[in-house]
Amino acid sequence: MRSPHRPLVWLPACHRNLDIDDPGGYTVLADRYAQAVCKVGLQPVLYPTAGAGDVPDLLELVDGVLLTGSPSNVEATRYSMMALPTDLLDPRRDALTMALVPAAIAQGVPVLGVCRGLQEMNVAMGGSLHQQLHAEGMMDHREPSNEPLEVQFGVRHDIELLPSSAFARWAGGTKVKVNSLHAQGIKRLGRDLKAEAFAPDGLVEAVRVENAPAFAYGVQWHPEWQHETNPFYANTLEAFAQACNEHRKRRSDE
Amino acid sequence: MKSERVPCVWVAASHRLLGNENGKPQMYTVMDEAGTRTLLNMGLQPLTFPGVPAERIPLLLDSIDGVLLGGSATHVHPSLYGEPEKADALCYDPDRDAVAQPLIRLAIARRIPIIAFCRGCHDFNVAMGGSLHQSLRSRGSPVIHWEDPEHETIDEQYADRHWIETVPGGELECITGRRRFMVSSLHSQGIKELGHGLVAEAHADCGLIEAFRWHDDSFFAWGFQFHPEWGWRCHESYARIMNTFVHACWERLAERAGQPIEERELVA
Repeated sequence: MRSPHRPLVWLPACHRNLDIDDPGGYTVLADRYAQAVCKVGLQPVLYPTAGAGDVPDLLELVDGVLLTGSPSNVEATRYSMMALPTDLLDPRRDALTMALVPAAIAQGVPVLGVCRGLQEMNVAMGGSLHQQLHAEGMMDHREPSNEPLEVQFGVRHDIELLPSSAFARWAGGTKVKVNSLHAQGIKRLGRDLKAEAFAPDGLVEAVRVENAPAFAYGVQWHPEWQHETNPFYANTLEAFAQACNEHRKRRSDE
Repeated sequence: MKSERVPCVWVAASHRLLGNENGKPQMYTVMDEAGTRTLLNMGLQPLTFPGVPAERIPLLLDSIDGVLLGGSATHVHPSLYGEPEKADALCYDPDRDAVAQPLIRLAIARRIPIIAFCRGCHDFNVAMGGSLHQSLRSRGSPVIHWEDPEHETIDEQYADRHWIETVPGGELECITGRRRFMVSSLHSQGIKELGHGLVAEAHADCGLIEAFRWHDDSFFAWGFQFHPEWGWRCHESYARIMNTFVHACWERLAERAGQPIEERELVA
């Protein structure tokens, strides 16, 4: 019997001090991720205090993990480099996601990493990052700073998709245009990660986790942005939703 | 499974425009960590369902053992109690209203424990048909109910500010064992008319309602104008209030599981 309960998707949040004199701090999550997840029939859930030690228990309660983008960067010490003075850091999110990524993949909980989320997947699997693509001989992958959101999130460059990949199926071809709002990017691929999409400068734009028991993909672009009018973004999210639905069904059959 | 053995508390989230890395404003779901950390420290599992459409709330409540509605820099929209806006539009949070109003009514109908403080108690009162004073300052009051962020540190803002008096023979007197105690006070709005089915349990010396509960005292459903989650380790009445809520969540978990569940020892 199909459970009336919708699949739950865990969205790890970020941490910020909204007011400089408020030591309490806040857990924050950009609403567009939750809205996109709701729109494809899934229910987002946020565990504000979750740490690495909570991962095994909480993974039992969810049907998918969506790692969101964020203004903050994965702290470079996680891949044996030093953080730049300009890096916004979120060590609590790092501590959670470094444990969450391998655990979710191993347990067959569907994972979709977006932007920082892709980078987290790579670092959690032992890979490394370019800390500033534009200063390391790569293209400038950042959004223009003085433009409205619609322009910043607009499609910016082509990517090449492996012909045999699910991405090529979702895009309906091997070439597609995507948005681009990041300064960091994948340098050395983590273990089990297979590059399936490339920017014109050769940057890895999307990965699949090989031999993962469930959906496990990461993308450098933002498929949650206006996914309803972009078939490639929509197909990506729908495929994630389908995987979460299958997980939900298995969980309620048990 | 261990996680099923810890009460899950749905924390009503707030929403704010925050700058992204370019300083561009975008809407964020925001949770005050003081409230969620208190739940964690007391052995409960806080969570929220960001962006939840109201029609999904009933099913989601199947796995919930308590509801917490905390403070916020925003106010309940006055249209919900039939009054015109008296503050500027940025002071409201329609996304929180859209979840908090049905969430409270459904939790009451399902007898799920509720703790609501500061803005949260306004959510609770309005959900039950009550109304609010939109500006205590302009109403004039012998009791100062609001903080002064320009001259007070955060700790000073949350410090005891004024006395409240419990209703003689009432439930709050029973929980705290006190007729009068000092409370924190960081609010510019307050309860005007109490909602249907709600019972006042404590007042400030100016007469403002500082604590109320759902009339059926067989489950925990309370609103507090002060912040029992902030500094509960050093404030005996707050600790008693929070512990009563925590105990109610464990009872709900046991009821949901259909078997007795041993309440985990708190590491205080």
